Amino acid sequence: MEKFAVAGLRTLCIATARIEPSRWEQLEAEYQRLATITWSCWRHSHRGQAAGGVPATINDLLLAGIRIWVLTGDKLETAINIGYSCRLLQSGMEVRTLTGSGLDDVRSKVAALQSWVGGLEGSSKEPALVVEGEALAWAGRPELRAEFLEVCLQCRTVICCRVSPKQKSDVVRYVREALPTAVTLAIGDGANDVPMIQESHVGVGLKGKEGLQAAAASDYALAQFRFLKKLLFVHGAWSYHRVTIVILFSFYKNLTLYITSFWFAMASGFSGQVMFEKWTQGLYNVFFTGATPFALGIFDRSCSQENCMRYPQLYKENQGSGRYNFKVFALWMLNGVYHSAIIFGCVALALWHGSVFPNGQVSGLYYLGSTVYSLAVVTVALKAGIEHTAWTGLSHLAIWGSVATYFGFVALSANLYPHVGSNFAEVVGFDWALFGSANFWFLVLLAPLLALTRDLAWTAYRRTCAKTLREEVMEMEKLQRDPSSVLLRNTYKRMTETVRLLGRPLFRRKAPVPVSQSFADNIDQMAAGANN
Amino acid sequence: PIIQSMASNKRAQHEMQAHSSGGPPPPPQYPDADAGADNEEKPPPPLRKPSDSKFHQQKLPAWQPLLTARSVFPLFFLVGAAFVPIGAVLFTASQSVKEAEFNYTNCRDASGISCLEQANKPDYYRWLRPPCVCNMSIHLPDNLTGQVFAYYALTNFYQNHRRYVKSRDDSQLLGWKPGSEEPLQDCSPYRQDPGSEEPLQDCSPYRQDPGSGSWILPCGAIANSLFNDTFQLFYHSPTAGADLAVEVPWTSRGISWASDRERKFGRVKNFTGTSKPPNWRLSPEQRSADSFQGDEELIVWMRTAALPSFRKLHRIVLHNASSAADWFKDGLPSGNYTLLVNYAYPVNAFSGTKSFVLTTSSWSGGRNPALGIIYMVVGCLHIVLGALFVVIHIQASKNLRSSNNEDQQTIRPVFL
Repeated sequence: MEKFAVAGLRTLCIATARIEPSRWEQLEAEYQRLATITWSCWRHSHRGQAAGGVPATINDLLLAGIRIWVLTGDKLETAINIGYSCRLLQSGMEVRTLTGSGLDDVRSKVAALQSWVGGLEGSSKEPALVVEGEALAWAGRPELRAEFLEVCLQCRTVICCRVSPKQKSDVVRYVREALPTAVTLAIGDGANDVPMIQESHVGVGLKGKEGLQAAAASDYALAQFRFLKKLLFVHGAWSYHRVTIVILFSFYKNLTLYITSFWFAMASGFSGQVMFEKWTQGLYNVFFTGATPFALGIFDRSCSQENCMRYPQLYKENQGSGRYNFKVFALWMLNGVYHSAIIFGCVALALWHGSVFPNGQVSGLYYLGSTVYSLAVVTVALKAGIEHTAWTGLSHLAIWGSVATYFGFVALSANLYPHVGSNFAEVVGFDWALFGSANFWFLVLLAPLLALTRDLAWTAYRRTCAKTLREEVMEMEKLQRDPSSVLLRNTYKRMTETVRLLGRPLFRRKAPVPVSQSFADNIDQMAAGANN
Repeated sequence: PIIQSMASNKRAQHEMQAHSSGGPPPPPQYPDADAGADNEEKPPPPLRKPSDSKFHQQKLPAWQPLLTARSVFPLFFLVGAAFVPIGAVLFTASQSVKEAEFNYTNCRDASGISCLEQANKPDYYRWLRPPCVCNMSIHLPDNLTGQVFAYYALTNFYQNHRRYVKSRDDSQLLGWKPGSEEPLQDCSPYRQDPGSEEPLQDCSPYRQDPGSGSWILPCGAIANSLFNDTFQLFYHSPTAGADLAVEVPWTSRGISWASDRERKFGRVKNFTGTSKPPNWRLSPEQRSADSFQGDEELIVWMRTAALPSFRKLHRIVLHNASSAADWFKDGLPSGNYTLLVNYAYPVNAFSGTKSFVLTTSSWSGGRNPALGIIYMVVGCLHIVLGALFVVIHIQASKNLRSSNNEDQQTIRPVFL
């Protein structure tokens, strides 16, 4: 029994005994209690499968373009049962099983499956595969693995039954090796799921009646399976958006400031002279532009929670490195270089001879540097503003507060020399020189606006003419119109089941609302995706 | 697991008590598989439930700007409408400044000798040769009305070179390192620099006089390369006699920043035991009684310029000086002038040029149309962009309207 249990198998023990009638009287009283306990045990054991809104969650995950495989230690019939009750297996699908042992046996069966899957390509029926643990052990061997995975990846869903904990983690590893760009998530509630949870990219453990081992070994611990939906669609989507924007913005803001030093080097004989006062320069990332990435990374929301949960299709744009890839990164960096050129160019032209004061006095090297620096701080803060999707009160604080902090620092640092040794000697008197100069304020008004004109124009163009699904939903939400109505089209008969599911909560039959082409494409994709 | 579920199953125990007296219990009802878990036994009280505030639940109210063509084109028009007049105002202010620049690099003295050639002779700057006094006839085409300033302009002079910029000792300039003596009492209430009296190593090779071994005060390449041409400007009035030349009175007071004078440069009481920089003809004490605070030419020079072609304020014309009667009351009148330059500064070695500039000023500084022009160009650009986005917006909404009327299957936006 212990050996079976260690191998991850569920055991059932049955015993018989002859009982005297008097003994039976006593036992009958116990019977009721046992029946109730057994019933609750049965319910608990099925909890993981059918309770807690699992089918609805799985349906939403499929709509989001996530492939779902089931790895269970139960036997074949139970596993198939589970598949149907979770709606992973449906009536429109053709289900085949892979059982057997021995390399040649399994090899021939895998070959048969390959031709079966190939035959089903293009037809309306979709393949689904149920693999038994023993056959999996043979099919996972290096000689057969490639063909086996090819079959699996072409199936709409794969259910592996009678798998041991090690085999669960093996399956995850096979998928990771076969699809290096895919991200895998494993969710389980028992100790036998721990290897699988640790092998996958993201491991989710359910805290359950079976104990806390899965939760302890996981990246995320949930109480119920259905919470996975919020984890992925809300927190996952938001995190992807936020991490992306923080990385890109952090590189961009540094480029915007420090490439101006490169332009200056072209005018200073490439001697390496820095035009900024050293403390001001050192505090750039900490004080003057440090708050805005925080605001973006902690509070920015790409879409409201309700809409993220309601429309799983929105999750698709988080897949496939769509928002963070080399091209996106390169464009942001180029943008930083472009902004730095505009900033330096405007200042250099305005301070050409250096006589910018009404009293005839001239400015100098560090005045140029301070002006450039001020413009960079303002530009970067406003760029963070443009990149915000949701301005909270803290965003305002971060953006305007950063600029105010910088100007406050200028006022302070202009008066520190010589009380702090030789520091700040370069900026003595710069509070009056900068803030009291009309040219300076005109430059502060001009250069950031000029630099951000391109950003603003491009964003506006894209959001008018090439809206992503998410932006369209957001727009509808903002205009307080029902986003689901955007997804409906004139001809009701063309709606697929998916769209109907989508429109179900708030579907109203009213005058059709215009739909852009991107939506039309997306609906086709949704329909195709749901069937994939 | 059975024992665990038993312990938490209060309702089960309740059922057990209810059924203990009757016959076999009725078959249990199997609930719908889809039911949520919360229909079952009462959940244990939450122990570490996170706060439900808007901040913790990421539900802070937010403004979500829509940044479509429709919300953006008013902004573009607004900016355009604001920038074009601003640019016009700036441009007008700049154009109201009159300036005249005279390149005297190749000027000649009264006997026709080229001062440039003289300056190139090897011992010229050791003051062993008589100075070359350059004699230039210049003509001011326009009246320079208002306060007139005189600048010298240098080209190809990289005051922004790193090795040059760091070659100075600010403590010396503050008057804290007088040479071999203790720091001055005059320097209080500023804290005394606790460092040694030696000039910074940064100043080398202009740190120590090789002959005497004493420290150079003020040390460094910036101070050493102090611009030392001197100028005299004479006006030849057309009404007066041909030989009458009125000297234009001017002063060097006020050419440097007040903050520099008060906070960056101090008075050195005692120069004994120090040397002047090798390229200086006069020692600091000879240049000004209040060295360095009173040596405003030095202060202006020590503020290193940002770009290789620069101007520095040299003199401010005194329009009400009694010596010139009322000639220059309203500014410098147009006409013929003579510029006498004591040509001391050698620029040939770095292929630079020297110029003398006379200019007025405005509220936006000297004559520089760049900012005004940029503003006007950007304003026009924004107006064009605004118009473009109006077109885009009209097209987009026309597109949506037309797709509303037809079957949307094959609509494609026109301009994509």
